[in-house]
Amino acid sequence: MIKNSPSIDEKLIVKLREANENRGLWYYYLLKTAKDKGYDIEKFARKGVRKVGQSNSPKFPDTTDLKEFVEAFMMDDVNKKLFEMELVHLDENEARIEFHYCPMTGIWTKLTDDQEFIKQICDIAMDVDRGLFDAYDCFEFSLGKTICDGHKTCEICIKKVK
Amino acid sequence: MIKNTPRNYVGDFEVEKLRAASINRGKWIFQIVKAGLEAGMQWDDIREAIRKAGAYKGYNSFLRTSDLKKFAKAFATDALIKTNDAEIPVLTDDEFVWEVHYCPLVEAWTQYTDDEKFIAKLCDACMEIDRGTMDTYGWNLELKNTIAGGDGKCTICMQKKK
Repeated sequence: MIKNSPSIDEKLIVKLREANENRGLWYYYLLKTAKDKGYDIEKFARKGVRKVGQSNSPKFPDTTDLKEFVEAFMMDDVNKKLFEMELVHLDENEARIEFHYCPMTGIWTKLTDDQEFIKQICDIAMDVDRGLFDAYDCFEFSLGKTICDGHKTCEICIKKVK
Repeated sequence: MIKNTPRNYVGDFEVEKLRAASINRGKWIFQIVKAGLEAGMQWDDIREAIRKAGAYKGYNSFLRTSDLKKFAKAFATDALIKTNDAEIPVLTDDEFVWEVHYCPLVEAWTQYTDDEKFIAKLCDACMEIDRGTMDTYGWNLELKNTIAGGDGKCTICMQKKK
């Protein structure tokens, strides 16, 4: 059972939550319609979302220093509040960040009870972060537990590998 | 030649955040649609998906009414007016004209490609969002100018059927 309730009610964050739910709405119907028509969303949607992530990499520092990268990743206070991000661990070799709210999941759970489909499109959406890390040979990104899988947060881990 | 420069609210912190969220949605739409087309999806499939998202918005995001003026008030939120640098040049019992001077989706697409024919095609497919909403009220949508078509503004006429 997915539990996904926001705890921040600041005016701008509420507006941005709606904007990101809107992205989730478009994304849901593009993938749902494609899947219903027999297209392989695992192939094409992953490819598309990964390209979005790859195109986001110039916004981040060209660095091999994990702390510097994480500082940039967590720098935007508005984004931190939108996803209710919490840095739970950081050292030179590993960073663990938890997201307490997901606006995309916020809309998907209004659109369907099909939790398997939500899990699938959540994992495809996470290719945006996998795509970002394509630019970094020195870091390895992994996704841990997720809100879509019934956990209270989404966990991401970034490890320094070189 | 596409002209898509906002005239107002440039540098406004809140509006820039809202624009960035919509630009991000534009990136996702572009890459998923492009990857979908490369995988064999047809433009009609894309249109169908977006029209469904528009119908969802009609039934769930706006008030259910037969009063076009009340609909216009619900549609044209302060956030949307500022994000799209928009205005309402005509609002009568039978017609609601929504004029947009900046499109964050087109902004995203021009970051990815110079192919203005593709952008115009994608824009028209994306307008299924409003057509899908209009369907739920039994109203028409007529697109008179588009930023993606090089007109410098989008003129979207929502009309009661005669």
